Amino acid sequence: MHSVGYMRKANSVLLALLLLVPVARASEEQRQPEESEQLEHWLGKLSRAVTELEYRGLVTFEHAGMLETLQVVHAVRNGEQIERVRYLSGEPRELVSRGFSANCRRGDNPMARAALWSKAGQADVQNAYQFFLHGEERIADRDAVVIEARPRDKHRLGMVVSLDRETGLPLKSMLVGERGRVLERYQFVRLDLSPLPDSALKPQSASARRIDNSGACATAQSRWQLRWIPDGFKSVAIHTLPDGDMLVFSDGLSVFSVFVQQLGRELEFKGRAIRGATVAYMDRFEVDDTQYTVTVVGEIPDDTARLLARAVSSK
Amino acid sequence: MSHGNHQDRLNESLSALMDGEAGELELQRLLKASAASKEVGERWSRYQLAANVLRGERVASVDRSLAANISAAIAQEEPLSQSHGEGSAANAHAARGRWRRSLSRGAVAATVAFAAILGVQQLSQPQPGGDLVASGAERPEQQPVQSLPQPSGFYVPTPNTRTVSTAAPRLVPDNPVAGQAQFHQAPPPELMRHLNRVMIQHSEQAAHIGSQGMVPFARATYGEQSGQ
Repeated sequence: MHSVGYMRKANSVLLALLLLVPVARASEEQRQPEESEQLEHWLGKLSRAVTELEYRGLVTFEHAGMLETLQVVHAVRNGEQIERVRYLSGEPRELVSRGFSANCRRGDNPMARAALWSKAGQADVQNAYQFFLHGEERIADRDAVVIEARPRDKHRLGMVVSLDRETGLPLKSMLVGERGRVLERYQFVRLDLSPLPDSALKPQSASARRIDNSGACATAQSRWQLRWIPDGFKSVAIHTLPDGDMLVFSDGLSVFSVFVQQLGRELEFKGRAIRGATVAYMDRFEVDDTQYTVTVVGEIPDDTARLLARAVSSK
Repeated sequence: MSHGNHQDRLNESLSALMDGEAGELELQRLLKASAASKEVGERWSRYQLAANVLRGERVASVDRSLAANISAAIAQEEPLSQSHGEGSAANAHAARGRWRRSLSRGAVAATVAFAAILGVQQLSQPQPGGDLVASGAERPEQQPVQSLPQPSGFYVPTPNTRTVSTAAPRLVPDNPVAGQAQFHQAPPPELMRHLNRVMIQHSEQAAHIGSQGMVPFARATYGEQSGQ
């Protein structure tokens, strides 16, 4: 491609262009199918692993200059995904999630976690990101393949994941902001793929939070809409909250949520709150003499969150 | 003299000191003010930090006790004649000749102070783009420990990961001068609860959509510790 552009700039003979272009095309096509086939293979493997694989492991989770360690367990029982996260550092925190999340859809494509499962889903995601293979590395004593998802515009963060060569499970995943800054890193220290006893799925602390995700992607009616969303994002779910609505959007890799709520005056704040890769941008607006608070939350660039908050309007 | 005026003058003196143009009186006033007022000391330290970053130098912290020692050392020196007081502009102009002579001493003291402030405590590698001063305005980036293949163009600085402190989100008001600056000190607990809650709700939702596996659950659970 480079040589083509150069030739044009040099304004050289048309014939030379006509001769060169097919050559350049041909060589690119020769290189591309192999790499795109490989990517397709790995992305498919990734989406199957995060949905179906039974595993447990120890993980380090770093963000905002902090390092925490946690234990993760993932299993499927009777078609139901059961996931448990327990923090091993800091205050004791534990979460157990169960449910059939296969009903999460993005537009007409089954998204759930299997966005990259299908060719259609992959094509969709590739409109928003460019994927690169970056060789291999070793994580948690296992061989991993490094894949980068580089955003095609400024409205999403980049992602670098290192997939377990054997299973496709992300052994390391980093969110990357502007100028290649790593905002968050999640990395296995130990991975155990042996079958899990049911006891491993049960919470270890009495205070563990249990969430049922069967209705995770339900779509309720909302009076709110966004006049603008970045290309490639689609509505995935709409929830009714006690004090307002929650609208969820995804481009297949990243997700943002828009909360429109009627909240008290003490919550008057215009600006952003940041924790690791997550930003929450808050603002207020008025419709029919009523004040509403809009909070856009996501692993997205700050400016995008601000633009989204301004794009909220009543239908 | 109003407090505001006094503050303005101190700020001017600080700028002058930063530019290496402060006279001895100004320096003394600054040292005195920085001993008495935490704010002046901190402002000095911020200017210093900004200047360092602009020059692409490493960042050092201010040792206030050292500044106090220098102040004491200067106090022992022969005092300047009173005519150098904070008089009118004309007076100051006339005194410029004498100012020059005594300036050298002030300059030496200033240099010593600078050396102390510049110090040697190396906090971090200089960063491309000089983001060090912008800690209040930019998303703090994670700085991972180097591990093998990084895609080219990735900035992976030296490790500086700390273990755990607070899980509270950091607030950056859009317009910090318009009355919301106080949030830096004490954000209302209701606000923090709200932010925490929406972050958790978002993460739980995201766990079922993106292809990040359990990462969003890690985020959701992480936030639970503060004020849920």
